[in-house]
Amino acid sequence: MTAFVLLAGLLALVAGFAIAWPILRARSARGTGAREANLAVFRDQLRDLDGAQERGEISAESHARAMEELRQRVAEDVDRATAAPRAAETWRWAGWIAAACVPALAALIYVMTGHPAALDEANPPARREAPHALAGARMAGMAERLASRLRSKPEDAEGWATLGRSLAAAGRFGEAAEALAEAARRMPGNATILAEQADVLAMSQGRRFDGEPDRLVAAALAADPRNVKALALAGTSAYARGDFAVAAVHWRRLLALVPVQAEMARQVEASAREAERRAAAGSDATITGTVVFPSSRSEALKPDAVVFVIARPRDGRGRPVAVARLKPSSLPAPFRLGDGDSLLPALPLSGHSEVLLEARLARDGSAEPRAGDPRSAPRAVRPGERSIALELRAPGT
Amino acid sequence: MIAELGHFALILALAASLAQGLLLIAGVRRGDAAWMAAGRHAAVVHPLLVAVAFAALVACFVGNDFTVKAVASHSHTALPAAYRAAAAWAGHEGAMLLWATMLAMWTLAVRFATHRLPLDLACRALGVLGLVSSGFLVVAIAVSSPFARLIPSPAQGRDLDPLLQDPAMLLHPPLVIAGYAGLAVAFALALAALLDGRLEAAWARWSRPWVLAAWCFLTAGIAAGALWASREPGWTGWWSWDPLQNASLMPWLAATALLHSLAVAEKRGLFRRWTVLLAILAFSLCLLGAYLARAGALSSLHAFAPDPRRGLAILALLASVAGAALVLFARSAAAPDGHGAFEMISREAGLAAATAVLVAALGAVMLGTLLPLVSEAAGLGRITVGTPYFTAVFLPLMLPGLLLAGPGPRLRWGSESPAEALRDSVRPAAAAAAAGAYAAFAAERPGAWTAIGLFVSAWIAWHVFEAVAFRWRLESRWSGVRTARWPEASFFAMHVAHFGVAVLVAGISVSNGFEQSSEFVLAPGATQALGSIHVRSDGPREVEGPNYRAVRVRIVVREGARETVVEPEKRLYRTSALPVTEVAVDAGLARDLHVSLVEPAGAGAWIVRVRVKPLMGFVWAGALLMILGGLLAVADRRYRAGVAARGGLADAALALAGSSPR
Repeated sequence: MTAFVLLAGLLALVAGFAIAWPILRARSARGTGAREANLAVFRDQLRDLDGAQERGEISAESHARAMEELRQRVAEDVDRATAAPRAAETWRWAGWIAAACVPALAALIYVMTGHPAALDEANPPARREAPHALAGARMAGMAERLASRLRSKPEDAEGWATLGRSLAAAGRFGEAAEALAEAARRMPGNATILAEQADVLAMSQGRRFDGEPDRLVAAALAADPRNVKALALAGTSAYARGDFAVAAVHWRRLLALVPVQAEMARQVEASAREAERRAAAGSDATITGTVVFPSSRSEALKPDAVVFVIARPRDGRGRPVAVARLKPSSLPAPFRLGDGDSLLPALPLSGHSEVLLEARLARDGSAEPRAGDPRSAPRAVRPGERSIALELRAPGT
Repeated sequence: MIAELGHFALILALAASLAQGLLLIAGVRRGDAAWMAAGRHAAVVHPLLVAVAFAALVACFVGNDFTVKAVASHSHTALPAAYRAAAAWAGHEGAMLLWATMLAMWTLAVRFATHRLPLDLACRALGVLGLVSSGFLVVAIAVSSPFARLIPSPAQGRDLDPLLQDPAMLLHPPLVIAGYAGLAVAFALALAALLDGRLEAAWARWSRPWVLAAWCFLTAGIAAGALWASREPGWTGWWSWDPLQNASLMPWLAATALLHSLAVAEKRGLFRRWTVLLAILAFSLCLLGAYLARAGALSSLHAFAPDPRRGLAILALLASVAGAALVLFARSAAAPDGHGAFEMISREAGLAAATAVLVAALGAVMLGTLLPLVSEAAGLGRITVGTPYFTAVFLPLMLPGLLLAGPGPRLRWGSESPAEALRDSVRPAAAAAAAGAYAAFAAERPGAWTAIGLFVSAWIAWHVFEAVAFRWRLESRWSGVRTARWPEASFFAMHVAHFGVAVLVAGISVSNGFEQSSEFVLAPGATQALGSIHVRSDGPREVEGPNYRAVRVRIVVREGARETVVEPEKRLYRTSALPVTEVAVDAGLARDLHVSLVEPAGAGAWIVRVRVKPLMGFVWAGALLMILGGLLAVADRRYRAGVAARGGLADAALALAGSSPR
């Protein structure tokens, strides 16, 4: 504290006197007069003009016209009587006022806006430690100090909230939830605290919202239907339990509250669109993956070659459920098989609990299977599975 | 301690900048040289104090002082030190302090580099700068204090948004804000001249290097931002007409118009009032940019509800700066505006048309940027103004200006014979037609804008070649081939900058028109091809970054005989758990190759996106040439101290002055 006051006082006095010095000593500012400054410009222009004439860029006639114009401008800009500023009869008292006012004004504003109490807040950043060790050790220490402070002063709701956030940052979600519960008890109806509590609780039970977290999110939204964090969590929870329409509604509401340009808006927009898509599709049954052909790595295919990815009913009988027709330029190639590829709209891919998935390469593009076509072994797949690898094999291998 | 000292230094800087403004403006008015000297001292003290405050904030960030709210909101102990320093300007508070710092640095430069300006004018300009600075310092101290505390302090910060953890974060914001603040100098000089009631030759001459320097910073800042955006897969390409990009484009257009209008004001003493108005407009647009950035990318992911008071404070600053300037402008209606004559086809007319085109284009950008904001604020619902609007409105508006950039610099001052101007344009027109026809008919994928772009580019470039060649012939005829003189730097500056425009236009047209991209599965060891480019994967591996974990795939790119290695990554940042795609770029003048990972496809294979942007290097080279042009112009001998013409010429000038009617 003392060191700060001394340093700040010294800084203020030096600044005040450095500014006031010329007035106290009646020193003058030295500089160019208006006449010389403007003449210097016209001198340069005259030189440019003569140069242009010598090079033959301009005719003698236009040179003369430009000279006449220059003369007029000189008359306008140069010929004005300006009294040189003088320092002799300055008001010296103004110097003392300046020397006093600068530090005084600064001190006044500091008293209004400063945080001298923070000087006593011991926060020695241990610079020599490695960042991770530093984070861990300091985290523990600070949380400990905060907790002991709160034991003696348990009514400090903000303190409990900060403790909760610190513990959450350290990954101690269980304890964080307890601290936030303390904060929530002291700040009833605070939507942000409730939402944070729901968040850490969900984290502590493995990112699952069922039970208490869902109830807390609902309470937060009841307290403030426009709380950003609560809306985000409500959407996430609904999405996680497959309630895509509800998730989309929450996220759309959230989107209306976020500044348009913010990066967050883009993310929320993307999530909301995804939820809407899945809500519209019932449940997302799309199967994605790749078709590979290990026996001839990255075989270049003829332009009319076609890869068929076929989903059949589980028992392997009857007509295929869905077929995707790919025309890759080479293998391996990504595929995507969705309800849109279903052969019978009445019984789409998503209507099956499991299908047999198979790939076939038709080198000439024919839809009729031939004996020599490389195929993959049929594989049982649930609609909605991702990253399925289908390996083609030439017959007989 | 450091934070409190920084806070106190910032407050002291406010007091000093107020003293600077009041002492200088009152001192000039009273003719009191001692007050003026004191104000000039304050113009050194105030920047030094702001620098102390800025250094203190950076020290707080680097030293992880989470008792400072800004540090707790935007930093993290695991963040690399360079990003911790850059996080200082990630939030609104730090961005305002960066503004104040840049203003302070320009103040310092003006204080020590204006000894050839009339003392009155220099002092008044410094006074205006002091008042503008104090406006920013008041905002920084009252509503967005960078040194606000968070006590009890959290043990860990909320981290810097992963999207901002990019080397460009170190460059782009400081450069753009340096450009914005630099335009404050042009504004201050214009206001000083208005206060003086006379727009003299020395004012026009000495405004120019400051505008040029600020323009260079702004150009470099916008280019750095575009480079950043081009490597960020979530942002749609290097230029997406995003409100933030537009916010920096508007002052750039105004500053470019100001440069062209200053050329006439300096050379012929014409358009002086128009120039003053452009200087006011340019700086007001910078303040508008600061306002628009308030809710944008500069605010972090976690700043859910930007404080409305901050926006209002910046708007109030904008209103008072622009308002005061316009009142002064209106009051000075009697100031002479020069009375030289010029004809319809002349350099003056060309420059006037150029500024008009730039201002019209500026209006189009402003409409497209502000309309969504106004509509949302007025409760008329959200509207999106995107690329189609700007393609349909901005490009056709800019086209005549770009066409003018070719023959314009070759026109004579005063009057030019139409026949000669036409004759000068025959060969460039032929070259342009050939380039346009190639794009329209011969190329693989013709497009109207590509053809127009190449036409314009060849037109400007050919004009530049001919102008330089012509000047060279003149110089050598005049002084004999062996001793042919180099023309002055400003001659090259203009042509280099215009050539940069030609290169930029070519880069934009070709890279947009002929971009190729493809997605495919790339298994380890497998090769895929896009056109003549073959890519082979050497397989993925796990990488541990300072504050993220990543999968990195080594991909060998073969193009003919040349092989290069790129390593795109998929990162997962520990604090935000956001997956971030890190594009690998193989850049070259002929083409930029972007390789990014889309999603895993099992067994070490990845779905990989490859994009080839031909001539993308021309976009960056064009920007660099424009900056080089600006720097050359600043380096012109006219602007250097002590190179004034002496001897015979000076005598002639004095004679000229003496012969003028009294």
